[in-house]
Amino acid sequence: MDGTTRKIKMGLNATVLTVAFGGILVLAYIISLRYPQQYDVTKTKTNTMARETRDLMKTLTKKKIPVTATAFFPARSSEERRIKDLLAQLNRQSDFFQYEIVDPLTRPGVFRQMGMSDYGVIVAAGSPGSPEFRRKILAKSDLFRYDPETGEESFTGEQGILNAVIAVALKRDSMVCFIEGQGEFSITSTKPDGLSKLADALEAEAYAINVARISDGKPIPQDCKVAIMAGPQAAITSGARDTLNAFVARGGGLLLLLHSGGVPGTADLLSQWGLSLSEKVVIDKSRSADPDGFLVRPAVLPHPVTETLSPDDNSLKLLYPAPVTIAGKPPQGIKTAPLMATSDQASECAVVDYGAYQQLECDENKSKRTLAAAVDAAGKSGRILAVGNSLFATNDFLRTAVVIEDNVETARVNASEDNAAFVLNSVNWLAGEEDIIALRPKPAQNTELSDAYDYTRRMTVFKLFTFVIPLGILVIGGLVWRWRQSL
Amino acid sequence: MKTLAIYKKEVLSLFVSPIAYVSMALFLFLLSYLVTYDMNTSDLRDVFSAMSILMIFFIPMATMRTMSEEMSRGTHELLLTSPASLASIVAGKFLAVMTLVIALFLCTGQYAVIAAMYGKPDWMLISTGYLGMLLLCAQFVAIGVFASSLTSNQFIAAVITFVALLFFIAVDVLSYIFETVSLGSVFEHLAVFTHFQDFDRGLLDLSHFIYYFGMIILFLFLTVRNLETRRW
Repeated sequence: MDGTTRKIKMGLNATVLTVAFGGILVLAYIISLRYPQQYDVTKTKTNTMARETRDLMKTLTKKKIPVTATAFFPARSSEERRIKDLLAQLNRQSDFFQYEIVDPLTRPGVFRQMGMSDYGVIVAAGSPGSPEFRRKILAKSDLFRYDPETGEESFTGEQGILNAVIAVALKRDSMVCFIEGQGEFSITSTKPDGLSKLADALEAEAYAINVARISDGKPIPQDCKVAIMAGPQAAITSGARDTLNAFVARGGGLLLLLHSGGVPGTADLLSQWGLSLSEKVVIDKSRSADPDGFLVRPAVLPHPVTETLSPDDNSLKLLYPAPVTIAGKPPQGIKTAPLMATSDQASECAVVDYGAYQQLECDENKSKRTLAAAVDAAGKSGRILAVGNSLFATNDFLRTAVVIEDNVETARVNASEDNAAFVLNSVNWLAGEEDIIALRPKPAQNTELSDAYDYTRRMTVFKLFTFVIPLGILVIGGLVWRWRQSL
Repeated sequence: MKTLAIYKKEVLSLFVSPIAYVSMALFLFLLSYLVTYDMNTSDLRDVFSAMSILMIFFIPMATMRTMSEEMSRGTHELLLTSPASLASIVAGKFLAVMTLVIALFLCTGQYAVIAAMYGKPDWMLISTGYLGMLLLCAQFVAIGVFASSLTSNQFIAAVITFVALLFFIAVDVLSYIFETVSLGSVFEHLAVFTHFQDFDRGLLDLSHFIYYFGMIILFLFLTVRNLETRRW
């Protein structure tokens, strides 16, 4: 064999080996894309889908409901990558969830044809033109929330898509009615004691919202699944009580948000369900957001409503709450469960009016108090949930992920994501849809450096890192070099 | 064992050479100049971002002499005829440069100290960031070692490495140009930073490991094949 033939043979051999080797690598890579294996190692599991989302995808498969999502974002933008990752994950959970990514810059015709005016996602169920067809458009702001305080944009896409899928595919006839006629807080009011944020959050959860006036003896509309009575100021008359009882008896869910002592008629309403509301307020310095113990941060107890909340480390806030006591022996066929509890260092205080001023006079006796309770009539009728705090779900105390908040609202120091999660979970439970408990927004990992890293320290660190340390390395290099030369 | 012996020799020659210290000092100076003053978060994302750009300049300098120097001095013939296999020679030289890269990583630990002092860092997130950086740099080094085996001129080796690294970064841009054809998707998968992004947000994905290890092994394999042609 001469040299040339040998070289050709060796060259061919090397080429075949290289191609085969490259082919194996490409094949392994393709398989890894086909069967993805991902592990989220972050502390707050920011890259992991919530259990609620996975359950929802299982429901689509079980009920055979096809849902499609069409995302409109420029190709390979950071937003497109996040959305694409999320939609691909959802698609892996259920074959009934399909998606398409459309670049509005290269396919403007499709963008306009689908009725889009800005980047976002359309979630649709059913065939276009059919009566079952439903679609919901999610704007970019529904998927990426800008925090004016930190200047950072967080991804709320999972929550947004989840709500949209529920809206178009699952919820068809759920209506929440806000009771009026006893001076309750208004759902149209954007003031601190208004309920506009709660109404918006419920609409985003695909509930229809209505108002039911019961003072004139009218029954609660038949299509109401849940009724909310938030902060009644006037007496609940026997007629109103009969209306509420009839609503629960026919299977409705009643959410009562009451202040200490309630109003005349409250005790009669609650006693039928094995509950009572104290005339006093609770002060709990051991579990409070303020040193005086007025703004109580209760622990939550195991129940479908509290499933998404941390038992001890939640951000629930109740200002001057009143204890909701569960009767030792509840009426027959009634199941009661405590939902929120203070520490065992809580005391009950009466508000004593001295004319010119009011003063709290507290009991010596310190013990654990229940601040919210759930009542289930075990299939015979509906459900009731009572919270001993009328302000609990007002605009001042609610922070929701689905509602875009302006600067004024985010500045509300008492606004709590867990108050919102608790109320939305309560409504789902009262509507008998505890399988679709509201997805609590993932706590954002605070990555900001503290203010202690001020200008002076920055300058010191800058000088140290930019000049001193590199210079030190050069000196070490010089010493090593001199040592080498001396050998 | 032969790999270890070559590795030891290479590490020693790297760390007694002033060029290693000069390039490390220059790297840390530039890194600090770019990120220290504006560092506002404890996740070190800005640090990783700046590091990945600076590595495009640092790694060609660190790898240019690995094979080229042997060829320019004529010592490569001794190596090729030594009892050590080509694979162990290449592995030893690759690991030696990686040791220099790891030493550099340790020096960037100063930013983690700042994050711990003034923030609440998620250490797992930072660890995966470093892991991603390590794999990215290992790919760059493998490319550099291969480029160094192509020529006896160290400067040309550094230029080839630099151009190759630019290709793997800029290939993402090609995916825009060829977006409508399936080639665009291929370019997207080839782009080195596409695979780094998930590490940077604390997500470990098997496909990224396969990509990086595949690229490292492929370029080391090509280096061995290239050296082998000199035996023919």
